[in-house]
Amino acid sequence: MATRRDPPTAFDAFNAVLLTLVAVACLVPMLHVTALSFSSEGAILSGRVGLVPVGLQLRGYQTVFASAAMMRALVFTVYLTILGTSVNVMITALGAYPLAKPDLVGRRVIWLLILFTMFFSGGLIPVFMVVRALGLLDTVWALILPGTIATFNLILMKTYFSGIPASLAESARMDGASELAILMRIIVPLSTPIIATLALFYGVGHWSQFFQALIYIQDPDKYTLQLRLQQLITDGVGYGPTVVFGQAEDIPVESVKASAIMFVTAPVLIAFPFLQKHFVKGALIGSLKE
Amino acid sequence: MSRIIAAIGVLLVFSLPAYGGGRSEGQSRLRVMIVERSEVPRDQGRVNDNPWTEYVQREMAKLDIDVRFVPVGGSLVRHTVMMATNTAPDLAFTHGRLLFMKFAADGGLHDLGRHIPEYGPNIPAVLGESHLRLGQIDGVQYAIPSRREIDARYGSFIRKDWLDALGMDVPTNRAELTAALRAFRDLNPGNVPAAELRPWGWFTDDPGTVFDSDFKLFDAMYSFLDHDPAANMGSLWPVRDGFRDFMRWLHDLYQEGLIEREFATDSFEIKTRHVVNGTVGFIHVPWNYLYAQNSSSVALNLARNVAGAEFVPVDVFEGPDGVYRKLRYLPTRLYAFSPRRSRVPEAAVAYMNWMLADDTAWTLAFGRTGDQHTIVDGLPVFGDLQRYADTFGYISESLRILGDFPFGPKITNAVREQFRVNDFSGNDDRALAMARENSFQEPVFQSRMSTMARSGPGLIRIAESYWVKLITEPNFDAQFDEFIRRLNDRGMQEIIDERRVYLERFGVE
Repeated sequence: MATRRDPPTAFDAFNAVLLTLVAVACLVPMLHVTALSFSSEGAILSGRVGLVPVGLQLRGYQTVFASAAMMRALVFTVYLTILGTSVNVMITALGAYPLAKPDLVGRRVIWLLILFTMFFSGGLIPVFMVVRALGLLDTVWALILPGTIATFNLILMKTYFSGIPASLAESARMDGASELAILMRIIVPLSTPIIATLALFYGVGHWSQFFQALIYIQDPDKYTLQLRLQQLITDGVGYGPTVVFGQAEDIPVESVKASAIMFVTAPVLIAFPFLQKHFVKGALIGSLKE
Repeated sequence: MSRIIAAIGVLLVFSLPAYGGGRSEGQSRLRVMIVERSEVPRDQGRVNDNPWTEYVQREMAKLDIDVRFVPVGGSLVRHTVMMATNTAPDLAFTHGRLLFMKFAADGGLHDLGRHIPEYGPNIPAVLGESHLRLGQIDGVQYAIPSRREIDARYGSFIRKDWLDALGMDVPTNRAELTAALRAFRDLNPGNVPAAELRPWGWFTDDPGTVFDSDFKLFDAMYSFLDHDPAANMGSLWPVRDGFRDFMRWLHDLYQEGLIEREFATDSFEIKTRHVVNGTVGFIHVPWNYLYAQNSSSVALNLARNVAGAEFVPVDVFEGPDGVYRKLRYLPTRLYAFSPRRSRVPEAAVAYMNWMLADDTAWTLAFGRTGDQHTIVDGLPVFGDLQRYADTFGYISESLRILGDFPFGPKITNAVREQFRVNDFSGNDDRALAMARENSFQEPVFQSRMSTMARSGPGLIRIAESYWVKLITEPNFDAQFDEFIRRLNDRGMQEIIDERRVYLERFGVE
């Protein structure tokens, strides 16, 4: 049976136009870079590339895919994203669960301490020295542990947990379940929307890691994709071997830059539609319930 | 679901050793900073672990020095954090003179001069005492400055085909340049759409970096300035005789519509696009801007887009004494130093000393004889450039932290000739020669200038807000007077006085 819909109002029309414009504003730069990545160097330099490739070629992508450094960065970034997101979500859930309980002793003080970190941080040098003192420099943990819990995400998850009827946990407790069992067998299975949402937040954060990698990582095997991209675009680290006074192989520099940007961005773009359903649901539920 | 989680867990646990282990500190005797300047070929390893870093390590082991290379990105933030947290390698470097001076003034660097007589006799012998003074602050050798072979900076280029179409000769001074720009505007020899026509397309700018000027129009500016060293000792450009005329000249050209309207706001890519599309008649840019040896070459792409289009280098900024002066770069690219926390500054000096030995310098510049090159009549001959690049070119510049060894012009030119891929009809050689001719450098202050450290940032902010206004707004004189007044209010004269005292004491380097 078809549902009855109200006729569209002027606000609906305005909203549709505005959101379409915003969507186009987001989409056009992406399409432009995509077109650049497939275009010839001459067309790029001449500014002839808009949203459609000019002088179609694949040398930019061939160069990027042939790059051992880029491939190492891809492998490491995938690893970092999986490991980091798993740790983030797990620790955030472990933190949110007790905080969602109204009878937790010292709950208010703990909350204040956690919220404090949302507004104040130790600063770059002190945090670096802590990471160094813990022996984390040049390890994957330097990119995970300092930001294990994002306070905002903890608030979202705690708010979601608070909305789950306490009677469910209570009946499990009466059946002899431990707190950990209640969390893992009852709370977590009921919280897939918020977990998927936070996994996306954390995952995208790890995928985009640049500054922490710049500061904490020296080993080239542990460079993230974003760090490699920055090297390519702003530091001018060349692709393909360079020689003393010129390049032995003619590398289309601008095309390679655009191809590298797409190479780094595409995985997130591909993954997002699969998580979008959970993402919207989780973000809304988490933000509305208290 | 649980199987998936278990599989991920197993994957993570088994791969953890590859990424979970960190570097252990304090094991190596000499940690040397290395920056990745080019992609390391797949079969060669990493920037800090390849056949050439192994070669260095073997050679240094003969000197009882255990070298470990520490890869560091080129980021300024990374360098500052390393210095602030005592984690910088024993031999590190920075490209920024101001940063080097700050590290030294803050007590963060060793005096390498103490170790040079015993461990580094090649350093003064090859680089020269005068060059070494660039690494001194108040007479203390805090750094070894690298050597830059080509110190040419900027060049002027004009569309020869446009001049030919107008029957005009290549201009040789400002008046002739102005006449050519007006002819470009009025007669449009390239038949480009009127709205696209740019007689003077652009000149290099670099906002916010130095006080003196955002615009790298040094050659044009010096054609207006008085070059009496005594009269100008320590002075800053804005108060030198002639500077007002220089800015007024730019102002007048802009008001006449001869300079690109968006010169201050267009990005580098947009400016280049205009040049490549053939809508620009004249540019003042880095001397090699047009002549990249790859498909990004501006000159080649212009020629492809516009048949017969050709920029030629020109000397047009003639001073009142008939000399075409050009500012050149300092003869150094970076400052190599040993942080105060290092326990082996003498090993750092010994390492640099080894790099400057004749045989080592040759190998690090051209590879191994018989492998990357052969020697014919005393000159290195590279047969297969791709093989050279794949087996050595990727790391050569990263290893040569002290820069270009002075092999002499015969060898330098022979090598340059072999790596020339694109033919620019000799224009690139002429541009280089012009940029070098009558070039000079401003005085280098090898002392911490306290007034500049105190007032400099404020002066930069004031200058930032005036450079463009002075050119684009109609009331030039009122703007310029206000500009100078505000600079004086923020302590410009104190800076000049301190510079003068320094130069009277130490002379001009």
